[in-house]
Amino acid sequence: MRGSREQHGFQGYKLIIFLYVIVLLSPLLGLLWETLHGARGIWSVEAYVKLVEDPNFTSAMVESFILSLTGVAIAIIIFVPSMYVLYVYYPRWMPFLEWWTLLPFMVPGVALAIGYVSVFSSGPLPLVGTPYLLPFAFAVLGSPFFFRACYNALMGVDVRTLTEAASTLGSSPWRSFYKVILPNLTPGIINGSLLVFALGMGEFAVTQLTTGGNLITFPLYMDSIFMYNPQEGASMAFLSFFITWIALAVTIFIIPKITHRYRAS
Amino acid sequence: MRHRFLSRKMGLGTLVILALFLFLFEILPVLGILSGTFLNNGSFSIHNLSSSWSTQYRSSFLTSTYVSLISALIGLVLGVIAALAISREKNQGMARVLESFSALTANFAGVPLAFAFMVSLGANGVYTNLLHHLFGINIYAAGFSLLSITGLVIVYSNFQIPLTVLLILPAVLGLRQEWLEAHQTLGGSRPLYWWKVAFPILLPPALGVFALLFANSFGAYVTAYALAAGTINLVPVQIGFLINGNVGMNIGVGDALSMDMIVVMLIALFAYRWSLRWTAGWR
Repeated sequence: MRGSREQHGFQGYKLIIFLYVIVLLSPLLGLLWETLHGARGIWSVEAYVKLVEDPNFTSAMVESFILSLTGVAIAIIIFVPSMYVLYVYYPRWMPFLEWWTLLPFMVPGVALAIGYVSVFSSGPLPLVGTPYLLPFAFAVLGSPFFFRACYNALMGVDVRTLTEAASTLGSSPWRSFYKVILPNLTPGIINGSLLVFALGMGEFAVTQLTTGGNLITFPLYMDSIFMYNPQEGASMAFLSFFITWIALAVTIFIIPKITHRYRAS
Repeated sequence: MRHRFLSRKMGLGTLVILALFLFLFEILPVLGILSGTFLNNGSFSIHNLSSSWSTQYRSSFLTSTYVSLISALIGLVLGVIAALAISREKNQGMARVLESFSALTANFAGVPLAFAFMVSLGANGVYTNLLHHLFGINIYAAGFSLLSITGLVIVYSNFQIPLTVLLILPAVLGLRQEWLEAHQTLGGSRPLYWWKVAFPILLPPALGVFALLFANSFGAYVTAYALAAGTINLVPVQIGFLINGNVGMNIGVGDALSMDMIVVMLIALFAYRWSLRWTAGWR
């Protein structure tokens, strides 16, 4: 039965898969060609060398790096301890938080930006026009992914039993959190942090609209340079993909393996 | 006992910090949009809301809706075809790689995606020149432009198609081999199987994915901005103009446009949740 189905069945699926991959990759290949060959007529990595030598690029990269890392730190400080407390002591409130973290899907970046401009332009917290708002915005925008990663980790290691075991052995709740729970949650936290970091490195809408273009981060510099120097802009675009893809590849391929090995042992 | 009391206070402390964060950076901006929409010089007014529906912005809504509908439709049709093909891949490792590839390309968006298309299909792009020199086809002479609604739909499809694959693949893999076999044992033909069995099973998740793709495209700002710097009249691009213009009076209209957009997003996302529940109901 199975054999006859395979003989007579539609075998063109391999062609469809091939087309799917080629078509989706073609803009990326175009980008790579532009940076490595382009109109110069020779193959070289000159565009990338020039990029590293451009001091404006370096400062934009450093700016984005600091803002994204701060965003990651905020996400960890705000979400990890509170999610642990909710999960162990008030589990009924967990779905409530889950709903809240979906907010960035309902309020697009531009809308969130105009909300920030309405609220933080004046008054006690005049954050608009300063870089200080951005790490908080990155933590908000990354919260759906950060929440998911940490929630999976909390469920995966049976945190409630570990907490009970630690307290039975005389450990105070906070000691058990730092010594027992946190190390078990680390893969999930790294996973969520990478996603928040990648998001921060590429964030454009909130950055542009709340700072009015005064703050030059990596994506904003990329956008501004493309008109004058397409090759440098294209190299930055490829680099931007590279950062996102590395972060995603680690969360897809490496973190599950670490977690799996940990559970197997 | 002292320990326990202290930790309870600290535990509640973490929740207070969380609540403060959510209040300041999620609830307050949404309240800001609401008050900006309905308050004019301190009194209630629907002036901003009616401005956001005036002819000036109606065309933005029409363009946004058109781009979102077409790109969601293209994404859905081509994505389902790709997912069906991937579901037939027997090599588990290969199937996993294809799934990860879809996850990566679905995240291929914003400024980098716009640039990738500009150097590929722009007036002087690699593929534009390749088509011209190899086959004598000049797509720009034929009326194509990347900086148009058609161009934008093509660019959006590049992340809509893999997003469809990611979202629909579980449902496609849920189609059991036994159902086809039972259908054939009872004398049914293959086209009849697709029409009477597979299509009704895939329809609810497909409608849900369609709603999600629509929302995904409707809220997208950066890709369109980087591609055409505002020459394509979309709702998010209009909001961006109103903020960057820094004319205090217009922020209210921007708030109203944002609220209209949030309502559209909510409808689409509830449609998606509803389709998930429908699918879970009979499984």
